[in-house]
Amino acid sequence: MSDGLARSQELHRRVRRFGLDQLRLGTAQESFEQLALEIADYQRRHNPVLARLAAAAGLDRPARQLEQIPCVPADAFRLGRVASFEASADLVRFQTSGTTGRPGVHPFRTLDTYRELSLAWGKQRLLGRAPPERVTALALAAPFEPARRSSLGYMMQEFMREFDARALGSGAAFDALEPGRWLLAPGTLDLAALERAAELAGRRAEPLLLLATTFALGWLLQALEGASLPLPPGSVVMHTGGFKGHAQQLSAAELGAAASHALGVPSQRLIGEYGMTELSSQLYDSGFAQGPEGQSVFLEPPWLRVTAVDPVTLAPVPVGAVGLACFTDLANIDSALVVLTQDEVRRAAGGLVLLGRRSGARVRGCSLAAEALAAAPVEGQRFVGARP
Amino acid sequence: MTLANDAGAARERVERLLALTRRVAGPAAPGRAELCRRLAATSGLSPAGVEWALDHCLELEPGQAEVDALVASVARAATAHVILPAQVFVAAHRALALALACAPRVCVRASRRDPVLLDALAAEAQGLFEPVARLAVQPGDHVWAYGADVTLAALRRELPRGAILHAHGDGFGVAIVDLAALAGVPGAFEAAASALGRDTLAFDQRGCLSPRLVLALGSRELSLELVRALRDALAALAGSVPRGRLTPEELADETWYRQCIAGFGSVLDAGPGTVSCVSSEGTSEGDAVALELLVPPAGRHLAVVPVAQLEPALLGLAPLITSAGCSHAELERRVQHCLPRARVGALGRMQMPPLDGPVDRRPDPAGERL
Repeated sequence: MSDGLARSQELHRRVRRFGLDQLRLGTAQESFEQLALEIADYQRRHNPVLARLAAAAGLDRPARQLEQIPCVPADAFRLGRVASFEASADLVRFQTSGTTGRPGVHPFRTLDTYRELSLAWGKQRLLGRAPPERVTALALAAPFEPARRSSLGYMMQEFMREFDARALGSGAAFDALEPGRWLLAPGTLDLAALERAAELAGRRAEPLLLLATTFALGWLLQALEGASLPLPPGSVVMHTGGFKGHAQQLSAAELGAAASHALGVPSQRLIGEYGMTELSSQLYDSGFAQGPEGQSVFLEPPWLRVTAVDPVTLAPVPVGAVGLACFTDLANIDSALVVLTQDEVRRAAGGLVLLGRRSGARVRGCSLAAEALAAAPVEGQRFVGARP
Repeated sequence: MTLANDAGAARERVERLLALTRRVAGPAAPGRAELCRRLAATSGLSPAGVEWALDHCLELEPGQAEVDALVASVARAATAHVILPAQVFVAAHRALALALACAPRVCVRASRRDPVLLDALAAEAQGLFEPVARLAVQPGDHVWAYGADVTLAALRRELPRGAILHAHGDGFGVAIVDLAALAGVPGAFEAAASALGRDTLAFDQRGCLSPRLVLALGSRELSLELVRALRDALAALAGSVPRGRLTPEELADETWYRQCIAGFGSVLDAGPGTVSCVSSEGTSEGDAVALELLVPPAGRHLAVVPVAQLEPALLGLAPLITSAGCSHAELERRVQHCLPRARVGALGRMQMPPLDGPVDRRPDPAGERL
């Protein structure tokens, strides 16, 4: 085993322990700073992109403060390989879903840390600190297939596998690709499958967890044509992707109110997720428009920190000021610890308010993949089981 | 076609415009100093940058053949409309020339950000064209519009059916340098770099003709020699023609770009801008870097990309390329073959295309009937 691989494995173990201890106990043996500085040094030694950025910043020795660690713009993942290991060791290459130009690629040699931390954090944020034993879980998204390389699809699949773990039909074992589990296909939204699943969850006397892209949620509302499809009590809708660059832009308020009404899910169970292919961790809000000023406030997991930075100097902006979101993600052990995005954010009481893309920046995002599906000319747009 | 709008009448209108522009902005124009002062305030360029653009990029003395070609390049109509861009103030002149060659009645909407040259021309136009705040386009009218692709897409939706749109959208210039031909020739790298530096400083690189990428044909070692020469040339030119003000968005783009490129290549400060050198080989998928990702923002930044083969590199970028500057004449022929719709010429001449039609030749010259 090479020194690099051994070091990577050690860091993965320590980050997983840090994250799980923080979630369970609210504390950990190591500090965020200590782990971040060690990961940064590992990346400076083994990741050519970070080595060049460190050299360009005049950093020829390990960083001593988090502020010294070079940030990697998200576009770098489109420009070339951002990894601390050879391509021959790639287990998976997650790919961004932008509809124009070359996609960004985030290679992983292991998904253990990604999976374990995503599940633990997702369970706590979506299902609460006293989660139900089981939920019926569906995705209002296209099926995850390895060839599609969607990190969001992978995460949804693992949520279904972990939080549901049963077949939708009777008697069979869990199958992530079972018909009715993924509700989107090119030009098609399977409304009938959602109705069947809601009935199934009702019979099971358990909540339904609907994992949706925001665009697909809008599409679902369109398919319902003003009718309602009440989900069982305690059900949760996770929505992700935002309404970035769509021709038909619903306001967040309109979408939230309409989804809450149509599905019978209170706004505190309409939970926004923020993730990026370039990261290994996710943020969740505490329910739709549940912030003190009526906005959605997102919370980072303990192993992820978001700093709002000035887009010109990259220095942190004062608390409460708007800046670009700069993520320090301890779970990005083998790629880039600090990822700079073009998304504007502002610190608020209890977390972070996402304000959308910086003016002039290119549009990207997972929600656009659903839009592409809706626009797919193969079958034309239709809704299976749509109300007349 | 009516007698009032045949080629002779069109030519006469263009000649009137040329005389007007010489009177208002020519080297001997009495109000030129004041014009420059106002342009520096609105364009973001330094005073020297404004002077440089007026001296080198405003076509005041075209030859007869050029004007004939310009008149022949457009259809005739009763009315033409022009929507001017903000980034390149001299563009008003050529845009007006094209519209006047098309129609006896020309309505022009200036950029809100930079109306100065149009206002100055309109003050002495004596009815040659009409500055307007809102366009009133009718079916059959021709519309010349310059701006970002997203703006043009919105305009397409707004214009009436039957209007004919000449949309000039996003694009940029490339420089192509044959390194082997320069190697061993004393002063050749410096001369090429100086010429390319002049192309780059114009309008602080905001124009659609401005070079952004430099395709360097040859080895990485020779590419680095060109990079150093460009760094020195841009720094020297910034001494005589300083960069102006960048907008907050442009400054943010600059920071983002530098941080991206520094992870994959070398970035040298070159006066207020940069020259970077990035290999197009060896990405995660084993293919070449998508060159469009390397295109720098405005502000006098050049990305030098060593390429072994010219044609594949150009073909991928062709829809975006408005102009190409080449380091020798034989290269110009090769490049023109690859980019039949681009303006192709010598380094140092990229910002000075003849007044023989639109600078951006990518759109169909007949326009787009909506």
